[in-house]
Amino acid sequence: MEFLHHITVAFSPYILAVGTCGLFLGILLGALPGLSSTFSCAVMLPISFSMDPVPGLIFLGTVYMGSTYGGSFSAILIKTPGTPQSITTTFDGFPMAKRGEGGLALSIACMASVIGGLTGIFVFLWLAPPLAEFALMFGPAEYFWLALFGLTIIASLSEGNLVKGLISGFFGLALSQIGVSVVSGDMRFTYGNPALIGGIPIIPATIGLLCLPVAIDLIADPDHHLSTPLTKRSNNFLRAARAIWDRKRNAIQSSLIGTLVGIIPAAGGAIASLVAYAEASRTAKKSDRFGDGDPGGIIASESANNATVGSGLIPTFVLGIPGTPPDAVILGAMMVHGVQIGPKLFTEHNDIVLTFLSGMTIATVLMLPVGLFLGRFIYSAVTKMPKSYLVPMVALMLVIGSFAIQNNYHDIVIMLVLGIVAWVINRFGFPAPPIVLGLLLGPIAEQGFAQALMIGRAKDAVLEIFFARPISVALIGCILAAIVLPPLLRRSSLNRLRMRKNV
Amino acid sequence: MFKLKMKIDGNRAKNILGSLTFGVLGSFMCYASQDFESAGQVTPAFIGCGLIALSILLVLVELCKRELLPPPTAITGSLIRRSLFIGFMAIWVVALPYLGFVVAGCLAFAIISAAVPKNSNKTSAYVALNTAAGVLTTIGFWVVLTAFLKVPLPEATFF
Amino acid sequence: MRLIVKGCLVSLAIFSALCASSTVHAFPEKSVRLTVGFGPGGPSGIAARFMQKRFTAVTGQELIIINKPGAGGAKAWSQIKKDKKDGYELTLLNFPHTVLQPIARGKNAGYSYEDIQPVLYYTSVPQVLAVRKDSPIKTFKDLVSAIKAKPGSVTIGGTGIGGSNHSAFYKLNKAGGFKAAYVPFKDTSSTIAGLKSGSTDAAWTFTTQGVKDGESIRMLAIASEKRMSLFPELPTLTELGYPVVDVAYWSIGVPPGTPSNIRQLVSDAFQKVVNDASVKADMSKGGYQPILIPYPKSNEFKARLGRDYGAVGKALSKKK
Repeated sequence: MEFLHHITVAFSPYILAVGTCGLFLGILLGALPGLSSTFSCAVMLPISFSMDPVPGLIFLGTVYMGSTYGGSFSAILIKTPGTPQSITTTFDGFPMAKRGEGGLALSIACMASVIGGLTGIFVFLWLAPPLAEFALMFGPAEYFWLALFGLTIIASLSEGNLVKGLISGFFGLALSQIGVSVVSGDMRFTYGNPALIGGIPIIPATIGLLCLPVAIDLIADPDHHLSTPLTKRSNNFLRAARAIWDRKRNAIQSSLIGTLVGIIPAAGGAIASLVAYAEASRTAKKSDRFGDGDPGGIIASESANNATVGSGLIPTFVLGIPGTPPDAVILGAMMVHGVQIGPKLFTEHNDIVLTFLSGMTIATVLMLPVGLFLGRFIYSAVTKMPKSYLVPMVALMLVIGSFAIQNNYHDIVIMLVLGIVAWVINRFGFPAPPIVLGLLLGPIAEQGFAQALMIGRAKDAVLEIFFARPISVALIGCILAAIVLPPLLRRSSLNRLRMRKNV
Repeated sequence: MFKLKMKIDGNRAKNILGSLTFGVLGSFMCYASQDFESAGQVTPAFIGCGLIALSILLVLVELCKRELLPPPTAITGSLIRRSLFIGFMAIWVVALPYLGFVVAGCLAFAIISAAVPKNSNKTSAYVALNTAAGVLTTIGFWVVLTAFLKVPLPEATFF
Repeated sequence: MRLIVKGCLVSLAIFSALCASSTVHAFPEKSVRLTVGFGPGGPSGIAARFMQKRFTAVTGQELIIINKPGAGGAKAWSQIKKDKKDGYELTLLNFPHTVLQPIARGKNAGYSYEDIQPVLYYTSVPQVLAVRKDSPIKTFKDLVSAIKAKPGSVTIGGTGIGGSNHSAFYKLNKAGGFKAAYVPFKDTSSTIAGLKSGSTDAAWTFTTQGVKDGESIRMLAIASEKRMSLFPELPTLTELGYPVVDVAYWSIGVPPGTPSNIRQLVSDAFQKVVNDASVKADMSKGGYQPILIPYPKSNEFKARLGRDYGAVGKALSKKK
């Protein structure tokens, strides 16, 4: 098979070195809160320009893959998602770390990332053209329903009250309205403040809403941050492998969900990990404790988000449409390197694609030793770190993360303000993650709705556009299921409990 | 039809207060969106109405619930320290454009590391070591980001 | 010991003498920062990256690109006033966006056309009207008959409201006296995605997309004065009877108040980069037409664009 031939080509020392470097740098950048995968790739662009096209692309691809995994470091250790794709990793990763199982959590995250990453790449290899067609079936109406689906999921996932989760989500939607409206051109809710012209930027908002409250709580008491590790380091590898094997259905299912969502242009790893996490917690056994430190949560989140790396390349390479935000950077790099995109890439320039994918495959496999090594190192450093060093370091990283991406001082202020707001509403019982997702999904929902409406009006087919297309119908079904099923299930399990009591 | 509980305890009051705040936000959005173009009006109005509806729903649920849900996790540790931290962060962020990243970062390390350890570990040698480590970390970040990654960090305008 | 002290003092003296000289002898002497108001993967981002690739080889210094997407570029342009006026903090300017936005948004724009100070127009990208490869519309005439057959039912996508795609759409409607429906998208890749998925019947986009997606989209017409050598078979709208010319220009910009000698230095330095053979080749291949309007001619060109698009801008903002 041609692919095997290209694997041997990719096994050259130069490409191995490039890939390992990219992995290393990517993981480290992704671990820093706020430095997203898109940013990491953009920062590495100049370095990739100094290489030939194929190694340069492999370099960028491995930075992307590494940073997606690296986000789990800070997610698990300081409840701060290093990248937006790792938001759902905080749900179970941090409780595990608090219990002293942080090393185990990191190992599980590493293995899950590798599994997801390889799944995405292999799906690309064998199913790219037909799946690209699937990507094209997504029009404005489908995006609208997808965004709604994301919102219903996040509300149903919020610990405690569904209504409170929805309110938080709507608050996030409200925040997303600030700035220029794509559909009407007018400037909303900025009140002349230049800081808000571009709207609330998502990364500083994520850092503020999710990370600052953690830092605020960190300083409250002088105890050590994480409990000392329960298990010896050497056991973690086997225990992690065991944990994944016990949950292989979760791992496979989440990788596939991640792959699917990655193909949808502009959806991205955050949505993928969210859907995978929701699905995994829905199909969980009663003995699982999702949201409280269940390895299944980490597996779902990390395998899904790494799967989007490979599958996001499908619309990127086949259609020239970025599947996820970092793919836009990779696409730009290809243009600057002079690589022609489109069907020609798969016929005449097949070797570029195959060598690139082989390089990515090898690098993803390498992510296991590299990731485990880095994870072990960082974990022991963080647990041993006294709070007097950890807290200012976290605060410093929050500031860097907010500022670095767009070189905007205002973003740091936004981070601070939103962080304080989040901490306050946390006290009132309103969760913060739905706000972030509302902020992310609001524009997608609005643009999808307005565009579908405009097209529907032009064609005199408004109802058809929203309700008659197959993917829309499927998504509406998922939304209804997400709303209706949990109370139904609860009632049926209550009934079962009552029946058992009666016997 | 609704049974109003006579006792409204702290937790319920919090929830009601919280939801009312969001309801106010929702009304504000509905009101402000009247100024927008027709296409740009729809979403803010919808969100505003959604917030109003949900906050009313939450208030009703709170008033009619029979048993109390457990309150959100109680605050452990000192509230004073938290407020001091927030205040410090605010001052730090405001001072950042004047002091620049390096100076502000070092100062932050010095101050926070002096403040955090509450127990007997706090010897002056310990604080000095911590601060030194902090200074090295700040400078390290600065070098890596500005020199290697070419990502600019806030520069000082004061000097 | 004394020798060392003397040596330090001497070096200090020389060093401070060098620093004290206020005239800039060579530009650039340190890295140059270029802010781009769009994401790294779009036409503007790529236009900047082409230069970054060879900047170091030509000038010996680095070009640091900072992407600040938001509000169709306005986020970056609203911060130009705060940049240092020493020629090391530059911004990529897009025309006609910078003409149209202040007119349409008024005080909400965050900047005015006076803040826009171009020193080197270095590329132009004409707009094209495109359809899917497998669309039943095969030529521009087919599109016109479809629009005329059912006014308001043909959907044409473009990036944003009040941007260059929208202005081209408006101009064509006016020139042809017909009515099509405009569907705004967030950015260029979303517009193309909307076109390829069949959501819109056609789309206004740029020649760079024609190069990128040559296999999957069909360009019907180009809104430039002459045919482009990269697409010799693509007729201009003027040839087809609709005098519509809508070309996007990119320029390097300095903050207002920058002294003219610095403007000249920046313009000269970037001219050298843009004239580099490999940059020229990459850009032409990518669909970017090279043009060269350096400082001080750039001011006249800026004024001309302001006049040309002033009326369009007013019309687009009245439409709302």
